[in-house]
Amino acid sequence: MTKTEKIQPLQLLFAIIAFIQGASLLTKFSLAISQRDTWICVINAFVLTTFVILIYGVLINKFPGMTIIEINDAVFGKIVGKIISLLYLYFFLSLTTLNIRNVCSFTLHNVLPETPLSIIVITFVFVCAYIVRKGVHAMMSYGFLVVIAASIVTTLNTILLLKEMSFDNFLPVLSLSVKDYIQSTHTISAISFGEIFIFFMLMPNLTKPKSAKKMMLWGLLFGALTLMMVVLRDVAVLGESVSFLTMQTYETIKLLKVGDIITRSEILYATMLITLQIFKSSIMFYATVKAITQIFNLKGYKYITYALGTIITAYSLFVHPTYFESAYWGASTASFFSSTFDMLLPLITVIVMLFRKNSIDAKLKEANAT
Amino acid sequence: MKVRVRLLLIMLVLSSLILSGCWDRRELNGLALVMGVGIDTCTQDDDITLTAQIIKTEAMPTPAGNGGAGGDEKEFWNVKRDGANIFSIIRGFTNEVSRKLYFSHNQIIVMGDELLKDGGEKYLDFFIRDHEARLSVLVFAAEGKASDILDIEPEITKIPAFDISNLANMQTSTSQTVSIRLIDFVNTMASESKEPVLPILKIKNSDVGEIVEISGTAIFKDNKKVAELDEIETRGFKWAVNKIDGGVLSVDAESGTIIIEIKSSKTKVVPKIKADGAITMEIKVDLEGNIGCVQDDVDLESLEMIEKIEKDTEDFIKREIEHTFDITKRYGTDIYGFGELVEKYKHKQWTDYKDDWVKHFKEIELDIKVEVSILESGSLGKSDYTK
Repeated sequence: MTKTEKIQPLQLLFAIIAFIQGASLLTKFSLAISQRDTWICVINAFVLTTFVILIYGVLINKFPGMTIIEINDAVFGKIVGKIISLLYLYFFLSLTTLNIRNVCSFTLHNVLPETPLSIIVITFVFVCAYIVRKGVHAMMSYGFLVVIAASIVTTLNTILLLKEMSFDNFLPVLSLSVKDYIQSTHTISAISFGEIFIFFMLMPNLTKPKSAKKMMLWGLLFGALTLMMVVLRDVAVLGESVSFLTMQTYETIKLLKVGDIITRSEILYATMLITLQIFKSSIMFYATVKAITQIFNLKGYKYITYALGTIITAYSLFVHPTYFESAYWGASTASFFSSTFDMLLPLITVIVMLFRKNSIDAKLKEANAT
Repeated sequence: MKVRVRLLLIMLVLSSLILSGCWDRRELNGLALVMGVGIDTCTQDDDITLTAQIIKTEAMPTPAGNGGAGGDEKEFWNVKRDGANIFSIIRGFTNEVSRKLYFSHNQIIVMGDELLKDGGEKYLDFFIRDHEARLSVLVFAAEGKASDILDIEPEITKIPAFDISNLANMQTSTSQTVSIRLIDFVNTMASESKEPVLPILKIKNSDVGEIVEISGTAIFKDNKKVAELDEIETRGFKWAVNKIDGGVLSVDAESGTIIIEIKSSKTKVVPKIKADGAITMEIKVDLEGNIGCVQDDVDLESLEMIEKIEKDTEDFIKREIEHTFDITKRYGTDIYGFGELVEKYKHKQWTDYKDDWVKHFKEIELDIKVEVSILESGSLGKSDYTK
């Protein structure tokens, strides 16, 4: 590992914040379910994800500086571990693909409606692959910048939209069925928050591996605050229609009008969102490449990056041929798909780890000795 | 070094392949900027007529003075087309207009009277769904046909749609019309109990010819237009929904008519439900005003007199609110959103009312409290300065 590939704890923090901020594109799934009460679900999801991160913490403390692939090998043994790692690889690859597809659909619908989707996807994948090849350090510096930019844009938009807000829109509180709250909480924690699980693939690059848990918790806090602000603002501005529009945040910002001077600032938001999404996608991309490298014991990851990029391009073009399929996937399956990998499997890993404590300890000692 | 040169070449070739044909390029001289849209029922069955007001960019005067074709030429063009739905009409315009219609700058949507009486809200779907259209566009009801309204060239500016949207923004100084954005209209239509309202555009004959004015409010029931409120009745409605920004009240006091200018006004509405299930809406209006103009002999120097004027103003506002409320009660249309207030603040009881809200709405009692304070009398202390 060269020196430039190291990540400082603070860089990790910013990366996690950017990662969660990038999820603001996906508020539509939770807003469609829990509508005006989504802010409650954000709080619930925050608490739930905190517990999930505590589970991650057990793994981080036990296996400092190891990726989830290495942890699988250590916990489940070589063969079962590889099978589970392959499942994770599928998860990472799908996440990367879906994420790139999401931002491309957004671009297609709102910014470049006449351009063929394939051109947009190829451009995005190329940029992500380029960033991945530039290495972790480059990615992290980029993360810091986007967090600053995104925070400024979001806060500024919120302040300027204050006069459009009506806080009556949050009433009545707690009027939906319990099932809706659970579903929405699950969606937010599995999709928006839980995907920071992917940072397990960056563990070897940390200068202080054990600080990862703390940084995840802080990152979650700041990310959740941003998401909270976005959700509160969208409901306060849009009111009833928040439950049936497809791009709530975009429509909200389209309403921004201060005199005749500050209008049409949605392009600023679109730019920011695309920037965030590129960051998020490239982290996911990196995780996928890294997972392949580790599962198949390859030397270095750079030379498979573009090859994988081709696969991702093809995958994202046929994953959801229409908007309806992607909306259905997002509303019904996506959260379960994600939570299987970012909540259930880590929990199982921890349980198995506790059962096989002695043999794992022995192996770790052996590895350290050599 | 050689690798770099080769990479550069590959990139150049690639970019010439990808970038040369930008699918979404929009040149200003290739766009037909739509400033306003009018929707009317067509003479044929089931069809509608769409009027799109396009700016004639070439006819606009340029700073250099040339290019503009004289002073008399119209700077807009209203294209009209019949069809079964908005989208096919808009695409159909390409048969008549040599440029692509561009909706991002659309200022207003005007809907014809006949269309609104049949329930025209389904035609708005396109303007919500399309990515170019904006939810902040203003929506109006036309007294007659929407296309007639858009045809009238304004005196001050050159583009009718632009003029109308400016006109709507000026209405804060009278508070006698409503201003409804598409998002507001959509939200009320999505509401279980609340009914929408729209400002009415009328054609008025004046000495310079026909001009457009905003006057009164169309009220709806089940998303169909049922009645109109005049200016004063509209203000009576706006008091109750906290939408008064300014305006003048001519109050008949004991000693003569006094004109009060509204400085600021705030209304709070709280639903109260009695044990027997009767709903009372507690409306509390807080108004600060100045004496704007007095034409009769009124002694403004005595505090008692001012107090009396305040009391008269309070009664005046109370009467206005009650008058409009009686009209809406008669039609059984809850344009105030009282149902929403009950839903929001008395959520547990709302289930008892929601199935038969119109009936319950007609039984609502108002409990109006108005607090008026008159702050200043302007530069004139006395009213009767003539000797």
